[in-house]
Amino acid sequence: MDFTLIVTLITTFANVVLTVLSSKGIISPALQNLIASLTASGAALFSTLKNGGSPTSILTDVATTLESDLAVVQQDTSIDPTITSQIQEAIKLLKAAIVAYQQAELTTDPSTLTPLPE
Amino acid sequence: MKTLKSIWTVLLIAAVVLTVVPTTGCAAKNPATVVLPAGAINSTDAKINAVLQAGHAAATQYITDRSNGFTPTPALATTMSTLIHVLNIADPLYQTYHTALKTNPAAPEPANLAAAITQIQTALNNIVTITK
Repeated sequence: MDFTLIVTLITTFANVVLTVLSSKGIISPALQNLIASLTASGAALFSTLKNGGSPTSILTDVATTLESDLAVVQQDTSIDPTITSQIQEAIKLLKAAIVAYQQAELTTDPSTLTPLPE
Repeated sequence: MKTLKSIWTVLLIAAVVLTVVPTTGCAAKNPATVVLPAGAINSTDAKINAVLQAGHAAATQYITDRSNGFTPTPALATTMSTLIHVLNIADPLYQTYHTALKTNPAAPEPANLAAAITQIQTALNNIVTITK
């Protein structure tokens, strides 16, 4: 499969959508930056996969980028902070999972798995 | 409101990728170059450990955030409760299986452990789709 072609198509499509929607005032500058970051992250992820590398390192970068971009979006007072806090929590949980997965790619140690409070 | 929907769409797509790709990876693309983690008996052992460690990390983060005042949606609370419950069932099953592999590297993965791992992966994916 030609991942380069897919990335090119996705990037082109995303840029067209961004241009059209932002010209109509639908997308805020903060969200525009967020989508642009995700597009770049997606391209990096596809490139990593194409080269047979582990995707987890780039996924950590994606999560970090999401966190910083979300901080900008949260400054938009027109968005309900309850919603952004839920998004923020989802990102935090997934980032924690990815970091742990990365560590598990290096070491297998079942003794660290201790009971969790229910 | 269209902007809000766009945020959700972008974040959900990205987050689903975050959960799905790590558990599938691309090791199968070139199995000959796969290096097992230190302490792993075989690739199944390594994969189960990785999923459980990821689940534990998410659960621990959630427990910490709850204690710091985070209020989840009812759906997220249910998903995380299920995740924690299944982790507590899967952990001893996996630890027993890991020990068995040391004496018999060909020992089959117990069916109830495989089912628990599937439930954990589903819960991790659900974190994204039900947070909304």
